[in-house]
Amino acid sequence: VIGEEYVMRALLRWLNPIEDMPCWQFYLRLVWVVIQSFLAYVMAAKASLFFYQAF
Amino acid sequence: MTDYQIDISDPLFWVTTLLAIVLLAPLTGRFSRRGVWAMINATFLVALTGSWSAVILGSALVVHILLRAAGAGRGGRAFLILLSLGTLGLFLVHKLPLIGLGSVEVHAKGALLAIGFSYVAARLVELLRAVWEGRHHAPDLPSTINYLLPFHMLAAGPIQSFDEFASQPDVPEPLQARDVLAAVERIAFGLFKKFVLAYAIHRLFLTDFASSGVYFVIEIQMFFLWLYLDFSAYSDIAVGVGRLMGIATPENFDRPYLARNVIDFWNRWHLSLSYFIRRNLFIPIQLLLMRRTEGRRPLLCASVAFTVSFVLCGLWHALTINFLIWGAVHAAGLVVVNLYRFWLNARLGAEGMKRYNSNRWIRAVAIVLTYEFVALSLLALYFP
Repeated sequence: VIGEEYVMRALLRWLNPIEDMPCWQFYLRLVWVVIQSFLAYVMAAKASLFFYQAF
Repeated sequence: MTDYQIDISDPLFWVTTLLAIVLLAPLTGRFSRRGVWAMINATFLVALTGSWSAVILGSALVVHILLRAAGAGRGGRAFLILLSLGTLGLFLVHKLPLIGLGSVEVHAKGALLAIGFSYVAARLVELLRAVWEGRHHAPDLPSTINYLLPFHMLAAGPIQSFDEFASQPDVPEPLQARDVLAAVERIAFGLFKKFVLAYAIHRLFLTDFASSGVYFVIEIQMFFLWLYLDFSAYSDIAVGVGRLMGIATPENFDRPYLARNVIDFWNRWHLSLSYFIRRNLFIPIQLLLMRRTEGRRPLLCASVAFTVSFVLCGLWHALTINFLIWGAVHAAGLVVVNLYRFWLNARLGAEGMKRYNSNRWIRAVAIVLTYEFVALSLLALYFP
């Protein structure tokens, strides 16, 4: 029983890594991070340096 | 120039970030943490500027030795004056055009541009003042490198105050999952702003003001929006990376498009530069003038302090007539807003001012006017 409880707790921690945040919200935010990063990666080669680097 | 400049789309920046997170996270001793962080910054410089990194790190060593000498005893002020003159000299080399000394000059200017010397010079001023005024002892060599040359703040700031740098805990609190998520979100949003949103606006709307008629008006609006997205993107990345590494990195923006006047704008835009100007130019100048006039002309003193501070702020960006005009335009805006506020206060009284400030129509008009003022002021960078 102890073993089962441990596995369940570990599983839940992996599924819901931030205790006081709903699981769906965490993964939705993560998906949005991935989408933004992917789009930035695709476009990165086309962009120039930052404007303020000129100073 | 040269190809030394930091490119955020290049793996070097991200490999260094990963290395820093992995190496710094398990360290709990303050000396080991400080030393490893300095090694990471030095390694980044070696990878970025090659043999010029020896000159840059050697200069940091000279700064450290002179600061130590300044704190050691008599004649200390002379060392600080020497450092100030050295900083000013390098700043001028960085800003003035090439004078034809050959490839060494080209590479030296390239190295200064790579480390964002305008920002390094501002940090040097902070450091010199902190030691000069006795607020802090001269930092050790790793701290000197970490303060002056943090790899994630090199390209475009922020300009961290030495007080903030010195007051951060030697060993930060361990990161929680929530902090990691917030930092990663910040970095991803920064990348998205720079490479997707700012790029799209640049491609669709910006022509270096070669447009005319209604397109010219649209371009003025879009240029300011693009500048915000481009610059705040870098700050987002720097702050996010700083959080993951446990290195305090100051915020640079606070929704500047909601500013209701130019004074409010400078409390929201490029905050680290704004605070730097306030600490090192505006307040000292105002205090000096107030003492000279025995406090009889506060408005005049504030107006002169605004003008000198923001003309120098313009020239900090570049020693050109365009940036001088841009700084002067902002100085004029600040002076007018300050006078208007004084006049309004005298006319409406405290209660009237409260009503005035909470009126949402006045607020909406003020926000639009401020946006237009700042957007139009940017034309000075292209004309004449």
